[in-house]
Amino acid sequence: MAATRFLLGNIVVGSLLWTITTIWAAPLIEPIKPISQIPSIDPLKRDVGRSLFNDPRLSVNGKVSCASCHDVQRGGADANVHSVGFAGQLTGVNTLTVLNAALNFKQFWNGRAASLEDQIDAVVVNPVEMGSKWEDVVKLISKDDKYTSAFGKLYHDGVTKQNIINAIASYERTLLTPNSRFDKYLLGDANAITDIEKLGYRKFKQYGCIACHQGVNVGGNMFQTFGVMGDYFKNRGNETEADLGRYNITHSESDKHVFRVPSLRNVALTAPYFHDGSAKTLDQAVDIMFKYQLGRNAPKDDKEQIVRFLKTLTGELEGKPLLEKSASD
Amino acid sequence: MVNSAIDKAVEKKPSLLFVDDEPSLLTALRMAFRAGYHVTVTTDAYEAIELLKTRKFHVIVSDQRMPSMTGVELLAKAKELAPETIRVLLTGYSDNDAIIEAINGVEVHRFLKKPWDNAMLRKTINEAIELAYRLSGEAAQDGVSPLPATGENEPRKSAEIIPMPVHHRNTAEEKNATVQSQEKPTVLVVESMSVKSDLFDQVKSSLGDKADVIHARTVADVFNSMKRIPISTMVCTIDTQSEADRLFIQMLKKDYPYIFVIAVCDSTDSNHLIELINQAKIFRFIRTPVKTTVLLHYILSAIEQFEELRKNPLLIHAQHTEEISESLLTSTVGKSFLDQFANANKSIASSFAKLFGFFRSN
Amino acid sequence: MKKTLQIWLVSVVLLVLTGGWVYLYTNSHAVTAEKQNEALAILKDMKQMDANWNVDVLRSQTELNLDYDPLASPLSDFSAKLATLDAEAKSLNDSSMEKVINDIRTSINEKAGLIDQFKAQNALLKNSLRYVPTAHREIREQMHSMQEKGKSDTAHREISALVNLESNVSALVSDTLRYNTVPDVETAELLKAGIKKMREDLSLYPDKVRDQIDLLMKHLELVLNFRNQQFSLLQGINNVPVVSKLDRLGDLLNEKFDAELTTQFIYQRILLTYSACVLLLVFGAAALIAYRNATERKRLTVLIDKKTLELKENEAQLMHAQKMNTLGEMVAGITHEVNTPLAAIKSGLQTCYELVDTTNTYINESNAFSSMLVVPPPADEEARKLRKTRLGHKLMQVVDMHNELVSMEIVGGINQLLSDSLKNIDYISQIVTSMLNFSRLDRSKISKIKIEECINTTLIIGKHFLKTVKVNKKFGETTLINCDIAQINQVLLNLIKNGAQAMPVDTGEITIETSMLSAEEICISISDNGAGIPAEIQEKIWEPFFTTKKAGSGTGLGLSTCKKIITSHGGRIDMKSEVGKGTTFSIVLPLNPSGDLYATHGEARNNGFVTAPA
Repeated sequence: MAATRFLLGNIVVGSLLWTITTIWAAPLIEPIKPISQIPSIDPLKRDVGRSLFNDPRLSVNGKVSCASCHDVQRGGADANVHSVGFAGQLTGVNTLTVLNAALNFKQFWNGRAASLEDQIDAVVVNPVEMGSKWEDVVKLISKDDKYTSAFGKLYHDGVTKQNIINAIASYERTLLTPNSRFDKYLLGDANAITDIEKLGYRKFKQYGCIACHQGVNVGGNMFQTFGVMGDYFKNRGNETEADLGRYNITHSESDKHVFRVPSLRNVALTAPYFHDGSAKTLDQAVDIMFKYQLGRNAPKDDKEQIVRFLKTLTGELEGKPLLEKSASD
Repeated sequence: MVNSAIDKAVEKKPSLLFVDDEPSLLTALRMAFRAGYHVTVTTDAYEAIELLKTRKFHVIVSDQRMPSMTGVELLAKAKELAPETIRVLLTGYSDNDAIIEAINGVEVHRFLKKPWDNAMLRKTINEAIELAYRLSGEAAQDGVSPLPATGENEPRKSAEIIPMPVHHRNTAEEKNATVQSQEKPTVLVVESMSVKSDLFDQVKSSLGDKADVIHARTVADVFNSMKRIPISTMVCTIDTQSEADRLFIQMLKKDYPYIFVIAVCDSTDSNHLIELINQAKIFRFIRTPVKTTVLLHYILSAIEQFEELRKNPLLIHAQHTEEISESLLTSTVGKSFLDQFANANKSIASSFAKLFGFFRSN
Repeated sequence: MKKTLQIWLVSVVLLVLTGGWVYLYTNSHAVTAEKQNEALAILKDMKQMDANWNVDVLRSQTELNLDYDPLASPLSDFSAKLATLDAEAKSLNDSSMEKVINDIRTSINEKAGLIDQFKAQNALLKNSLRYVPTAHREIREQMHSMQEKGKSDTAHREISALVNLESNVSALVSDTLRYNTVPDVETAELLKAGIKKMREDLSLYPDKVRDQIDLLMKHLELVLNFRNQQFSLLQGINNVPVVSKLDRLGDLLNEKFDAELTTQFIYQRILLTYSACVLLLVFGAAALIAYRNATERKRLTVLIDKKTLELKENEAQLMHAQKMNTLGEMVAGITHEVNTPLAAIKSGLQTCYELVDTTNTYINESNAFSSMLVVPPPADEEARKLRKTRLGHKLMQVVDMHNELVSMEIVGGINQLLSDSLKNIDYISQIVTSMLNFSRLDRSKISKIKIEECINTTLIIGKHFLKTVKVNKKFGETTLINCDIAQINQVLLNLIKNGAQAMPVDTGEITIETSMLSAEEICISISDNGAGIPAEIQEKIWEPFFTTKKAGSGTGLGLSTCKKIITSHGGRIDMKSEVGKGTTFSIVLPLNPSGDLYATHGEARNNGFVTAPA
């Protein structure tokens, strides 16, 4: 009798709490923060930035632009394991998404760029990616009257490397994807995600995925060794220089195979996963993560729920919800 | 009533023409020459000109200041119309420009100042008449001088006239002459006889080849030059204020009447001018600053006149001067000059006589 | 040239001085605390950020921070702030500052690196710690279930072995958890050994749990490693000398600022002294200039006075010269005018002498003849015949003489000459009177007269140049005029002479008119029909020394002095002329002269012809 009463009590309290949380919709205090707002920007600058982002003149042979690898309509990256540079070479690592890149504390898998500006600088001169020289880019851009007049309006010193980078970076800063269903949930809309997705989130936390994939960008704010509980690279084989990760920057032993933790926002759109693009699906990615990072065994259901949760992290770009690729899974 | 004797006498008398705008003066003149002259008077210069055209006069005397024309103008006309009529200018107002013009342009023989002394007047007129006769060749036919015997005439001392040098070409006779014969005339430039100037250079440069030019600075220089070379023309700077200057020129002209003197002076005191003209018969006057063209013209004129004189020796009488005043001759300067002249004359005359043919004028 | 050079020099000096002052001023007011304060504020912010960062690290460690965003965000903030400081340092070209800033940057990066390590380790540590109890429970449950199973059909020994193993695991887990709480060295050693042993004894464990235990070991190792490192890591993070470096920069900035303040102060001092010197200089210069001006003014005043005096003297001399000229003019006129009648008189009287002499001779001869006649004839025929011959001769002589005298019209002649002489003497006397009238020597200077009298006197004086000229007099009815008669005569003589000389000979005419212009003014006009005065020089004729006559003849003083004389009378003189037609001079004189005239007569007295008798 006492047990039943206890149980009844729990049920009542539980449903009460449930009711409160769903009806009253107070924002939750969670390790993941919602994207609050897109920074406001001079529309001209954004247009110029967008233009430049899509402008293949940034590459030495005019074949590739930022958008070639970072397709904002397709999750801000491309569907390739490795992207193709201006001369057809393959990049060393899988292309990260440009969406919400502004929220990352560093850019690139090995975190060598401290800001979006540094990332843009590095890409343009990268011998594989764009292979150009900034003087040439500036010259090319200066020849274009549209750009020169716009730059003249925006910047007092016209077309310069600094200003080109600033324009592109300013544009990129507007590429935030708020209003994902999970964000809405975080903001207090209890009905924004399903129970299973909520369950998935709980599992995400319980298993410890949240230890690294936290913060406003669900990751992107720390480094972590890839293959904590096991030697991923040995098992995968074909170790490349890129696989050394942060070691290539710091040359410190402890930084071998250390990479920047990627953001999981819009993860449903950014297959293939990991720096080597080895996981083609989220399920595969989750499996690898469990094995090598968490060092946990999880039942299939739990993993599925986690995947379901991950899919709620897909947000809106410029007011329009980004669409999941249909044949992703 | 005039009888034939008187007529004859009248014809024989020298005729005088007096022109002055003041009638009382003409009366006085007429009365002064009442006897022995044929006197014509008029107050009108134009009438005088008409008279000159129709009748012969020996002497014409004119006042300078007259209403219709000046005396110089009238005498200029007279020179044109009757060149043999001796011209005398009466002047009551010292008008230096007119006087110099009279000399330079019109060749007035004598000047008379108002008021005059009748005796002086008569002497001047008589000399003029005699000159007229000589020039026209009208010597006294009966040996008697046409001049009325007034006792004031003094026979001129013609013996002392130094013979004129002759400019002629080199002949065989003169080959051993020590003095160079001249084809060119020689002009003596006498400077700094009290006045300093660069006259010599001016004369030399302006004459060029036309004549030789010698320089003399002192009286001794002048005589020395004259001993060596016969001088016919002399350009001389004169200080009209200096008695010595004036006296020298006067004495020179007296002894060497054929020397044509061109006087260069800056200030002119009209008294002295008249004295110089009357007593030294200055050929031309030039005021400083000397215009080279004018100087050249006068020098050439003088040389021409000399040639004229050589051709027509009677013209020498036109060069006759008035007597120099006694007081001047007996002054210290005068005495020294007399000595110098006496010495010089001898040597000059002798050298000329020896080397050149000379032409003795009467 | 020298003046422009001076001006250039002065300008350059002034420019240099001003430049110097401006330089000093800018340098003495250059230092603003603004930038300094900004920089110090930035440093303060950075210190705060650093402190917060430290706190956030601990908060993350204690799970008060749920995510690592607070540990990541300072980077960009630091970067921005350092960039500002960098810009500042660059603008000041301060290499020491740049060095310190780079130092700070290095420290921050160092700290960031350590924090990155912390984040990575902390995440894994937390995960492992959370998992260890769960893993332990699962293993325990597994082993219990195996124990349960074993109870039924296996040996007791197996079960106790399992229990042993299980207790080993538990011990290890609890050791680990204990180590997590108090990470001392012994426990670490113990754990290390324990895990090692467990690994070695892994084969003792049943298959089912071997993987799980292996996994668990991994986690325990992780906990061991990371907990071990965590303390030193946290210490390291704390010890990164960001603050001290920030303080160093702060000190450096303060030092610099103080130095700048000191230099500014020095500059201020210099500026003050400089300004004082320049002021002194300026005052000195001003004083010098003022003094110079004063002395210059004095000198100029003296000079002006002297010059004015000279001018007055010159004017007086001019007047005097003009008067001399007129005097000369007059004398010339007189001389000529007098000489002619004198000549007539002298000649006439000399001739009279001669004629009287001739008459005397005749009288004597007549007397002689009469005497001869009176003597009775001698008785002697011879003597009588001789007497008759002699008488005849004498008679002839006398008759001849008589005829001569008659023909000579001797009496008439003598009478004529004598009468002419008297007339000429009168004429000469008239001229002398005119002279007196003209110059007014015998009377006072200013007195009343009829202007026509002056004109007539002047005409006589000027007779010698008026010989060739016709003079028309058109006199009106005029009142007596009060004036300096001698001066007016001078003026009239000048104008009339000018007119006469402008004329062609024979046809020349001068017209002199007088009239009353008004009740108080007389007008005199002198016109000639001469060449006229060209328009270009019509203004110039009034200038002293201007003349159209050739050099040397006439000093041309006339018209300027005339004007002066007329204006000092309070009148005016005008000239109208037309080339080819003639010239007219018009003089207007007041009946009573202006005060000037009386004033100047004090001086004029001495510049007159002769000092007038008192």
